[in-house]
Amino acid sequence: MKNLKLNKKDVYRVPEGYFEDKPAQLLDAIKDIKPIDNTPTVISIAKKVTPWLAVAAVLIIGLFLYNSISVTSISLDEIPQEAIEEYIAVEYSLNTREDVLYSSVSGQLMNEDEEWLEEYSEIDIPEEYIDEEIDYTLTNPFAL
Amino acid sequence: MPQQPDPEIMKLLRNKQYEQAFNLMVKNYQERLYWHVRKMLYFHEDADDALQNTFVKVWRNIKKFKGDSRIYTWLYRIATNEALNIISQNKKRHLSSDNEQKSLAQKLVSDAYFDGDEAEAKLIEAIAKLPEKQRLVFQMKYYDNMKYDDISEILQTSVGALKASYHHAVNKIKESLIIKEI
Repeated sequence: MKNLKLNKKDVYRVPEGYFEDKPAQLLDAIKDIKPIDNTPTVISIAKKVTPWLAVAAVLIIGLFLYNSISVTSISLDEIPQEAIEEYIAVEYSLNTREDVLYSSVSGQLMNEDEEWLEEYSEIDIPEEYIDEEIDYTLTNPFAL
Repeated sequence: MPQQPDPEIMKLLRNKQYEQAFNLMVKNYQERLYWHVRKMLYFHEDADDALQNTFVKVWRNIKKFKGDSRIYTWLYRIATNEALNIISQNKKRHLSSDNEQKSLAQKLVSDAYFDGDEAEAKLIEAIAKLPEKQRLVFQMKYYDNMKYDDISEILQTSVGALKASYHHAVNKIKESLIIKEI
């Protein structure tokens, strides 16, 4: 068993003139590099506060727009009768006389020819003519 | 290794004469730093890269140096980190390489800037197998003859831990070399 000594002999070497040329090489390497400046950066309060002011302004404008665009409810009394009649005629195509319409809200007769309606409003239909299979809602769309 | 005082460099730094301070640092410390990283990296090309990177970093941060540690230990710390970075890069390169892996001793013997023989190459290989910090401690103590207090300042480790580390390193190297000879 060979007992090897820990030899301190210098086994490494460098190229000829390495250390003589190195300083010039290093100066060339750093010529375009600026040392990092250690002075603290002063940030003005205006710069810090401005972004928050912008956020607050956006929120306020947003709230203002939201309130002005809000949907308001309209009561049926405010809607023109013609508009209601037209809506019902379209939605409930019942082939009924256009002038025979009932308002479910007011319970009033809405057609112009009130006399005609009065004539028929009190009709008693004989029992033998009542067909139980007839859907009476077709004549009275507001019948429940 | 004798420590050189740095009052001249400190004076230049205080007067914000950074270029002159840098030139003096290079002049006073380039060789010592080179041999320090060379012993960590073994090959001249890697040591040259580490030395270059070290002084570029020194220049970049020269205004930040406040003198709270000695210039010597500041430079050594930067140089050690740069050498460790190169070791890490080399490890990744070797892991991804498909080439047949030569042993360190084999590579050293065939290196143009290695003057030792096969036995010395094997010694270096045994040192290289030590855990990283143990290897650093061994090299700084054995090859650079640094005091434990200085090593402690560079590696940020207590003197007691360094002494234990060095003792273990010596035993491991001896065992490794003796086993190879059986």
